[in-house]
Amino acid sequence: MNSFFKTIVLFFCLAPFANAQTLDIHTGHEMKRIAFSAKAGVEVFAEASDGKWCEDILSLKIFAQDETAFGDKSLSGLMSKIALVLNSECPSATQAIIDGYSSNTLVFQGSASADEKWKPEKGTLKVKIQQLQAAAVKTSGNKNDFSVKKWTPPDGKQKIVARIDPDTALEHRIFSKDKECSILYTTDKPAAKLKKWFISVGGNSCAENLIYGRADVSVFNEKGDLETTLDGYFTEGRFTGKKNLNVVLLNRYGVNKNVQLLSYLIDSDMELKIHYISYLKSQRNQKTGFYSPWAGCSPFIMAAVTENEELFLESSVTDNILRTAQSFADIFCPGTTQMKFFATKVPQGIPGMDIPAESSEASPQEDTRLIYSAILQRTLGQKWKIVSDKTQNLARLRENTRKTEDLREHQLMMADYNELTKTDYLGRLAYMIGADRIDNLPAMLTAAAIIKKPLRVNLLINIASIGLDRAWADWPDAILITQTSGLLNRTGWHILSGTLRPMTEQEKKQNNKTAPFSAGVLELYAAAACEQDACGEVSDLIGLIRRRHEKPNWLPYHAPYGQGEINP
Amino acid sequence: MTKSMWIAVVILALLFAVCGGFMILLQKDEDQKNIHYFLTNRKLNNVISYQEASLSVSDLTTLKNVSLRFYAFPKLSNNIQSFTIHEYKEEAHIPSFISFSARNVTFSLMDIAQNLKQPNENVVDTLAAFNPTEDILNYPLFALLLAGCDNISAEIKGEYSYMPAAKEMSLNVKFTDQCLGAWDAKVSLNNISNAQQGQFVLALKHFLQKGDPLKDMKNFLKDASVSNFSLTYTDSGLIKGYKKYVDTLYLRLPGMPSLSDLDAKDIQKIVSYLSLSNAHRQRNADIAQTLAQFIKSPGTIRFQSKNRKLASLNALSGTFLRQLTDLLLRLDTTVSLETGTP
Repeated sequence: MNSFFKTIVLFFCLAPFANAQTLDIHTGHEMKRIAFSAKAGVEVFAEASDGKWCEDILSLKIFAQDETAFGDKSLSGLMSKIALVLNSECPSATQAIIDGYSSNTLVFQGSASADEKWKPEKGTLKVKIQQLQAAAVKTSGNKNDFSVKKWTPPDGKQKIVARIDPDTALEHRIFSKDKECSILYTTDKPAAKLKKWFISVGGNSCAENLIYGRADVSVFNEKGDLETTLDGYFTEGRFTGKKNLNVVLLNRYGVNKNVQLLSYLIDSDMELKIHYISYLKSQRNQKTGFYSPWAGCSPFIMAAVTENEELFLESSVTDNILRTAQSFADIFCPGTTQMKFFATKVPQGIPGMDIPAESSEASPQEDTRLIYSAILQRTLGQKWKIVSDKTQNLARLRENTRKTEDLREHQLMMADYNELTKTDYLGRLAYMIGADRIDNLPAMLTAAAIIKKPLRVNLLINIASIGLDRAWADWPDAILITQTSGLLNRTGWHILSGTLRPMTEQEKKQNNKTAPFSAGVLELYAAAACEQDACGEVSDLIGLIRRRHEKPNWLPYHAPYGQGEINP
Repeated sequence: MTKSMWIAVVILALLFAVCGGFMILLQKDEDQKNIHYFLTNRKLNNVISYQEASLSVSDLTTLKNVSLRFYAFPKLSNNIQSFTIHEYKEEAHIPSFISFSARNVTFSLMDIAQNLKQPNENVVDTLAAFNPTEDILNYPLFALLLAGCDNISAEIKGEYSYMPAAKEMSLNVKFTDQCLGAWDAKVSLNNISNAQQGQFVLALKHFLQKGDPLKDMKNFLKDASVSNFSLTYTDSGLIKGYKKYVDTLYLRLPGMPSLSDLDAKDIQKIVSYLSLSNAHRQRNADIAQTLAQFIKSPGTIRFQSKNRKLASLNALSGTFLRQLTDLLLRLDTTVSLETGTP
């Protein structure tokens, strides 16, 4: 037996799993030692929570005396042996995030997955998945309650009454003659007539005035003639045919006369901040004018309503969510073979998803409320498969676009930075307000006098006093500023934009001005107040670029030491 | 003397007085005719207008309320309250000496700038990008306007002398204005032929009539040498006004020292610039220091060339500033500050 095998045998023989020790390293997490080798100088720990370390995604910390332990070959060998331990002690583990330490320094970050036979992969991608999931948990203070764009489903413990949109829901409440029972009936017939309609109920006790569960209902019109019979199941007074749905109804709405909709809550994932919602449809029969019973299994439409768009940036997280959706499809529509899944920031009203597409040309990519969409199919007894070529991870597309835009903006900001390092103070002031230049008052007054026309100017000015719709500057000269209402509200340093002209002889006389080119009038149309004297804040070049591009954390490449530090 | 004799004397005196008055009127009319003839003969009658003219017994010729119509600026309004030729001499039909003075010469610099008729964009761009040192010579009119000078009301005195045999011309001009200050310039030009002298007269004429005065001046100065140069300037607000503009340009904030004064670095730059024309660094440093002192506390500054020093204009090259610098240093010009008002 060569020395390598000796080492491995020693490694696993000396690391009986049952005797795993605990370690509390500086991360603050509880750790369980799952293996070690004194000879190889390697210890392997798994992050644990409440003493339990075996999870779907493991966090492994490998401590080695020598950094060479994290070389490709060495680490692959190590992981293949750890895989044996995991297969026997934690078969549910699918992924592992690996942090490698040598001399208490993080020298390796990577991941491994069961699908890839625990072959280690260098990089932080998988690490990020876990961080995302953890971050999602942290985004809400109350773990059991969260909202999406201020929307939150009604509390399931209370009596649920679907919120009806009276503008689009063609729904009327029809009572029995004794007013003990009622149904919510979809029809486009006039409301005045429907007030005279009534029902007779068979096989149901009509709890709380609405029919729930199995019932045989006859609907009579205003003339007392039988309009239709509804023999089947009811959910909150709404007829669902042969399907008995015990669900929390959310919203009742319609798009047009032919498509009426009802959303219901399937589940809320408090950790990932996702509300899973499905939809029932009732469609109008063009020939008879009757609406079908509420149905939601052909196809099964399901939405993951979340604000956490980042969840869909990682394939593995998306796959997990899709698996959850598939599970719900099995529960709510066991026999269904087609499912439309989408992730969104709003609980309803996405064209092409819960409601019909507005036009064939409309691209769902343009709908910023939509994060992800996929159509899945299966043959009975088989796994779900994504089939639609329209499947789009819009979150990822948007993220890619955003990254491209970020990169482009960074390039622009770097160009600005390089340019501004060569620019003088006035150039920086001009950049601050997005102007070509900051003008010199005497020069522009002279120019305006020569060409006999007012000039558009940008001036650095110190406002000495403010009056009613006018102000006086005292630097660079005592000029009059007019039309200040709504633009100037305090004295001090400003960069003002407006049209400049010399004072007329009458104005000079009125304002006691004698010097030929310091008597000017600035008709104001924009003003930017300085933070410091003479807008001294522009000396902070990085801060200037950050403000201009609204990127408060931006740093240029090779920023000089100490520049751009963000003070807490 | 009898009573009748007294009467005869009085009558004779009255006759003489009437004759004298009549002769004066005739003389005045003759003066007007002569001056009109002089101007018409030189085709200047359309460009020089005046209200009154007089020729005194002492050969003083005075025109009152004179206005000139410049060829380049026909609409430029100007007025000279009185223009007097104090002395005029000729040698072989060539003017050999002229002494003149002009009182209360009024015009507006802004008026001139407006009459230049440059495109508006050029005016704005030039002023927006005005370099306060280099552009003084490139755009002197704008520099004066930026210093706050507009309406000029000047006193001018001048002397011209030319010795055809010696080919030597001397010029002396004194100019005094409330804003532009007092200027006193003297220069002698050597190697000026009769033909060149004619070019000088032509240049003056071409300011008023069609022609190219710059070309005439160039011909006039061809192969000429300069000697006996002096320039005395007394500031009366021009430097202060220009400094104020420079301070606004460089954002001098309240309470800060003037940014237009020359610091050691600026002085060193001037020394380096002068040293390219003449390697005498100590003298160059003295000149730069004097200029810096003058800019800091404007008073009277005097440029005086060394006696009998001669500098040929043909030897000069480069930009106007470089040529001027070369000329002054070749003439061993000293720069000094004078105390007290002139």
